[in-house]
Amino acid sequence: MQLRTDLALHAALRSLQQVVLPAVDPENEPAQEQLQVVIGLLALLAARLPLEFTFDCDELERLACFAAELLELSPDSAAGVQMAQALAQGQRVLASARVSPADLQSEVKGLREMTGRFISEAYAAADDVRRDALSALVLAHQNEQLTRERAWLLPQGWEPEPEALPALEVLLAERKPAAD
Amino acid sequence: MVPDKERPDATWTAALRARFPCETEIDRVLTRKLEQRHGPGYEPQSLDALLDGVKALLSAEGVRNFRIERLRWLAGGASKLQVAFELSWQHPERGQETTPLVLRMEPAASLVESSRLREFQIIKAMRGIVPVPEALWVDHEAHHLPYPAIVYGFVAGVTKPRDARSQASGMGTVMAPHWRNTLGPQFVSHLAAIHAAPVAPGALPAFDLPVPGTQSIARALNHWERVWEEDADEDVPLMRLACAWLRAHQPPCAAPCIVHGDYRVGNFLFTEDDARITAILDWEMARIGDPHFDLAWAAHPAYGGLAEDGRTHLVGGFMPEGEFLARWEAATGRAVDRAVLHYYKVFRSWLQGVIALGTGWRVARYGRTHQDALVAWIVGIGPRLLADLAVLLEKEA
Repeated sequence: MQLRTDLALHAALRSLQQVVLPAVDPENEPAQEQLQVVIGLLALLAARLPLEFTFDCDELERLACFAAELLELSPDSAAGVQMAQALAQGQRVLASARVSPADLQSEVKGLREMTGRFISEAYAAADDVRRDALSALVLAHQNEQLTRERAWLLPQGWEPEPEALPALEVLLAERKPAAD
Repeated sequence: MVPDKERPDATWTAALRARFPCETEIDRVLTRKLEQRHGPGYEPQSLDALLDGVKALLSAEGVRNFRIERLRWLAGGASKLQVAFELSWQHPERGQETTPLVLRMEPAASLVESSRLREFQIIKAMRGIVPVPEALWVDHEAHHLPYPAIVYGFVAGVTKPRDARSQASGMGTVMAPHWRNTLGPQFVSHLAAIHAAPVAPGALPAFDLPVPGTQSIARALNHWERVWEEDADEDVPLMRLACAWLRAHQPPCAAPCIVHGDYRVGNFLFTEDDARITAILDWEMARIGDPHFDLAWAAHPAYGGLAEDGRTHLVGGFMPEGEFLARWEAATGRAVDRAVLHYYKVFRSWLQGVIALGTGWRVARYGRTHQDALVAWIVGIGPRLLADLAVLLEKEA
């Protein structure tokens, strides 16, 4: 999926800085000021978005340590019991959050590359029957994936029949369990 | 091993050139693109700097005693920068006059990496055959201007009527009925005239003329698969399947002709008061090849809209595909081969995937154009285009 947040933010920033800002009336101070603030906010997002997940994991990990230390002070109080439950829940989530979004994207990219190479080589070497089987498999997978990408991009307005696309939330809820 | 495409080394570039032999001039611009890739991104150009560049170009071309006025930016197009200006000078045929002109220049890297030399030559060659601007000068190696550029005549007109609806770059255009009857027939007859134009020996030296057969489609596949390899950041299994299918099913072309390459609504100008097409523009993807390419390209669902019945797709927003093809057959005397048309529909949709998802992503991500936001926006149409490609391949299966 190519139109990711980082691409959109970088492109929007360059447009605002290089095209829009020079064209805004220098005498219009509120417009100048707000545009500078918008650029600053977008620049902050562009710089920090890749770290947001790690930042949250880091905080949760340190909060868990902190809560554990607090518990030692008064483990049996009512608030302590409730905090112990929250701590256990937090530790479970932390244990399942060991893979970063960057790792995930890197694996997607790698597996796309390998499947792409496989398809090129297999099609060139196959007879008609095997080509048909390969085509059917690729098309079935790609139709599922493209439906999700189109749903992701629905707000852009490219779809001639937007109501025919399932909602992104519904599609993502159908997520297949990972193979062992 | 996946290469670092942002810092391509000479070995990788040489391997691509050997693997995908292209026309000579296309090979030159694609190789230049890779050699310059690790250089700076696009820097905004001032009108003063462009004025100096145009003056230098004109002087080098032997133009004397000229005056340039009213420089201003033009909007439109996702690929090239355009600046309008007026030149007071001694026109070689018409004498002293003030000529409205357009400077058309590349950014640091483009949504479509193409040759200004080819564009200049093809526009000159089409003069008198279809309405085109008067092509005057070319600076194809950027000796005078910051980036390669051409200068041609300014033509009055609009790319879409005020009462039409459309997305970026002319996509999804829906024409009101009165435009269908007036502009629609011109849209087809000009395309037929392009395809009937003679390819005069020596008129297009930047084009390698193909022999009849599969040479033209093989070169085109090499060109665009090379671009995909050079630009794509993320592979797409469907793109690989489509490319493999296209390689395996190349149709021969008995009589290669001039192909516009991007013939669609949004790429011609017309005057609203008399509903007359005044210029066919954007010739940067022109080549000598199979006319079915232009038919398939113009008929893409993204470049038209639905009729009032909500079901019938209108080519360019003008007419149903059957009527479009019948009019072209009547105007050219050539028959549309439905199997070849299907092939070129697959080719066009795959090619659009190369541009949107490969080049579009790369040039916007690394800040190489004058309008990264628009290019990034266009990347978003990629999955929609690939859905059309999947339908075409399913029909084949």
